[in-house]
Amino acid sequence: MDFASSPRFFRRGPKPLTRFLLCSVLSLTLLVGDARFGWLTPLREAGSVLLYPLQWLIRTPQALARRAEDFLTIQTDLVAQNHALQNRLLIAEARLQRQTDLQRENQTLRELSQLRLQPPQTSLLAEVLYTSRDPFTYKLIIDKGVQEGMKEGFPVVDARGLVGQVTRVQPLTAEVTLLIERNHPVPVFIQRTGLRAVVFGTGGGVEVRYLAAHADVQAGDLLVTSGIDGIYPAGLPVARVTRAEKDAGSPFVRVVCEPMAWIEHHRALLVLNEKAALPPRPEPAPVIVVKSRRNKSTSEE
Amino acid sequence: MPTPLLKPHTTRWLVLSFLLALLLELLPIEMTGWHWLPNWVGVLVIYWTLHLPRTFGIGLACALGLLTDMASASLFGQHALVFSLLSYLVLIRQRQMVMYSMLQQVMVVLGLMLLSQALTVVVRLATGAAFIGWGYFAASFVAAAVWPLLSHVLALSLQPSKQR
Repeated sequence: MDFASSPRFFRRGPKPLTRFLLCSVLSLTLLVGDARFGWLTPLREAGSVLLYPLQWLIRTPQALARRAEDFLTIQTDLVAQNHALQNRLLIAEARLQRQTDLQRENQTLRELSQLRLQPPQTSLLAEVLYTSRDPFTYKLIIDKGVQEGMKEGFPVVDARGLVGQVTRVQPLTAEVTLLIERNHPVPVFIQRTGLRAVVFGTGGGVEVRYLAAHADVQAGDLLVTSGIDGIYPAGLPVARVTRAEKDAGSPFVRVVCEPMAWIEHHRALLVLNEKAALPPRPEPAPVIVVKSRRNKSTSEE
Repeated sequence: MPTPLLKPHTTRWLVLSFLLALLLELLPIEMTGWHWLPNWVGVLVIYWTLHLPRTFGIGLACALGLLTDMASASLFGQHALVFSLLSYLVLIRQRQMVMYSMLQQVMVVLGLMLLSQALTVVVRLATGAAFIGWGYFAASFVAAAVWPLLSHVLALSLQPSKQR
């Protein structure tokens, strides 16, 4: 017996099919709007504020547990950790002294050669609130938003290298797209040779694409941001080459890399509060119209 | 067999269960190694559409999907589409499904969850993500395995309370 099409005694609004079609059309529209055109930023912002109490609720027990853990740490552990940290501090300070020296030298040299001075670099410490449960995206949500001066495009690093960039900013939180997100490009150069390349995320890893087969790449090469995109400052370690395979059938060398940063195990991250102020892109050279028209007409024939 | 009259339901349990599921969605966990956890909001959409079809329907499922999208930072409308499909499929056969035995219900839930995950994969591939391997579908089997427990616990909210 077909219950669904039997006469109904009670008014229950439109049929399920109608409602389903309405909802699916709505969600498909939203999908296309979000994926192709990015319409829904205001709605997302409103939603993120709505969800913030829930986020706070879920984080509080964890924070309490962490505090309890801190309280109960054994003294020997603390002493050992203190020693290790002091050693590291010593090394870092030695390096820093050298760096300030170099920086001063660099500045005078730049002044001498009338170059644009590099803006001072500031940074913002952010804590990871949660990772996206959606297995198709590689994103982190951090606890700094518009209120702390967060902007889209800020690079995010950890102690070992580049993690990604801020791609969506909400009033209290921000979304960081990781460098392993599929087709997420980072312009780099190979530190050993200075060869420029672009690292692409593959969805879970990174690789260098479009590097000519005769390029000089070896396993163990360090890839460092080149800074020519205006998003990432130059010199951040990005990835280390694990394998470079030359395939006779392809004009490109297959370079598999491993990200330097400890990408999936973070609690705290550093957001570099800096965007390189590049001069505007020069106009492309004018195309010779006559030639292109001729080409067009020949192709039409 | 005379079935016991269900008590006039309140929406308290419904709201509470969805809040819990959304909280689980926001849990700060490591990124890899947790794909076998099912989407609890989806499972709850099946449950409440099955047991309270007058209260919980396609429209609410869609709205919850949008909330889940925001919580999980996925594409807008992805979960909304999947949840409204789940709700619709349950609703058109609701009067059959409530009378099924537990084993049959588990099989239906498995099918529905697999379908919803397949739809998610199709949507994500169409919008340019990489395929993430067959291990992704393990979540459906977990959801089906948990279904008896879940429906027993949530059924407590629908049982008539003892006369005081």
